[in-house]
Amino acid sequence: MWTITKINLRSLFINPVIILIYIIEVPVLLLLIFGIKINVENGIVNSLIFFNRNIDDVGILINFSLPYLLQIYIFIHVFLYIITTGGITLSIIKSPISSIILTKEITRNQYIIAQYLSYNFFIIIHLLVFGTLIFLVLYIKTHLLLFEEVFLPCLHITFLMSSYTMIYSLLGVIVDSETFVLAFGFIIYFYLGYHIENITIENGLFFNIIKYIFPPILSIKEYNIIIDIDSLDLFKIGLNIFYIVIYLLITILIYRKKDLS
Amino acid sequence: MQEKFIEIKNLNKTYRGKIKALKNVSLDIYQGEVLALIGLNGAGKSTLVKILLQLVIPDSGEILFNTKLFDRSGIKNSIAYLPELFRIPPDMKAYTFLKYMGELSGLNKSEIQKKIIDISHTLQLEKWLNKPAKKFSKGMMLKLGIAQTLLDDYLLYVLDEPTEGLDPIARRTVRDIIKSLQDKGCTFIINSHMLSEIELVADRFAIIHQGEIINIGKVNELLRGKPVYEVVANVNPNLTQWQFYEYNSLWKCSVSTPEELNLLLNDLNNSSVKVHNISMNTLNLEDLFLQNIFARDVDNNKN
Repeated sequence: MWTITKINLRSLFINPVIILIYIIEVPVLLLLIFGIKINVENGIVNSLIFFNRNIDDVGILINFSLPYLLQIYIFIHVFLYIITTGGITLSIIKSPISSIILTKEITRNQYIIAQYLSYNFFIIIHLLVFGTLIFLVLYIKTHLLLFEEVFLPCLHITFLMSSYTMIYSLLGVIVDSETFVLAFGFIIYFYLGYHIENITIENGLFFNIIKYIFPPILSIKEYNIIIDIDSLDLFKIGLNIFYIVIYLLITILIYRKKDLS
Repeated sequence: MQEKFIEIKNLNKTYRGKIKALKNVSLDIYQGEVLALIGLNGAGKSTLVKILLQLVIPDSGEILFNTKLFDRSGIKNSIAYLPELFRIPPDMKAYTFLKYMGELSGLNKSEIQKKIIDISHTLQLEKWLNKPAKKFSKGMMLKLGIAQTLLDDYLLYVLDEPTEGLDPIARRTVRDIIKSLQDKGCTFIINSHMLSEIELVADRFAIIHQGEIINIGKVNELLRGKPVYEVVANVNPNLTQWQFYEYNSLWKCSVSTPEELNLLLNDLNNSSVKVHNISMNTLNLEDLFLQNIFARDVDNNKN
């Protein structure tokens, strides 16, 4: 099982979509490390030195726009993670080598769990490495420990994407179509996530089913308003984990009875 | 008498409640034999193999492995499988894939390394080991698929179209590999449409047609030395009782006895169809296969 997780993880890190993330992240980090010096007083940005050029009176602008820039940065990541994690459907159902793997000493349960673990480890490792780098760079530059501003969003995205991978797997084993699952993922995140709270019985059976079958999407809106988060809501994280386990069990039950091509 | 290795009993499989892929299929597979499953596209060969590998779940029936109920726990790590249209993720290198399969088979690093070197030498894959799969031709990809079945000493080899797309040298290499493994006691189940190729390696064959096994027997007993009469006509005679198939703008029909040949020539004469050529050859697997399929279709039409 760990061999499958390891190989999957390796292939995820060289996935073209993830290389696109590196293309965004690496220059941002390099710019932050070598190009910008930040002057902070009492936790507020006063001025910036951008490549030896002193930019005064940007404090208000920076303090106002930084959370939004961070939000855009996270938004891009989530967008790319949705595309990447959508691949779990393909890995489980239509992987060209899954039929060979399943003739080895691997049960279908282990195969599903290995796939799930690799996608989650990938997100955790990626967010942890870049989160830590940004945290350290900002600490060195500003002497501020921006724990909540950097690590909390990373943690929230990890849990959100973890639920997503499970929703993808579950839908994948039911409908057998990666395109459908990916489209569903985008609709959930970029539309339903923001409107689900207001869905009532008048909106029809379909939306109500989604609301009650996939409750983790209720937290999408909240995860996006990261600037308002002061502390971890352990109950919601627990609820998310509970649903992840439920999705995993249902996926395994369906997958065990599934005919593989 | 060889020992029974696998017993397949009364297997039934219907896809989506409509398509009957297997109808009450029973089959014994003996230790150390090469069994060829032959049939038209969609006959049910791949479904039978996938049920055996537990990739497809049958509606009813059972499989016994060494007289015990087949749950793969007794045969884990003992099956090598080459799927039809074998391919690997396009960015994966051949070496990475073989190493991956070796690890899943429970081999240690040095064993994997040694095996990969040996196999790639045998199959002339050395230069391709560090290239990604997207650069592989169909034949090279199939060689890689065969290579992964040779990483360990397995008891059962299930090969779906193992020679389609291979060059003649590689085909001969695959035949030699099969023979040498068979000598060690390994059992083979081979699905193929390349009947001339299958004839060279198989001990027994099972003809599957519309989800049923319509003939099963030993290649030696059924083919060797038996004559077949081939009648060639210029136009399609449209005689429903005879199976004519088009070949190079001519229409051919094979029969196995002189009596059948007389009947056929009479029918052609009555229909005023000009005979282009008559020849006598030795019966081969393709002739036998076509005769069986046609006979079954005629029976089905009568019923």
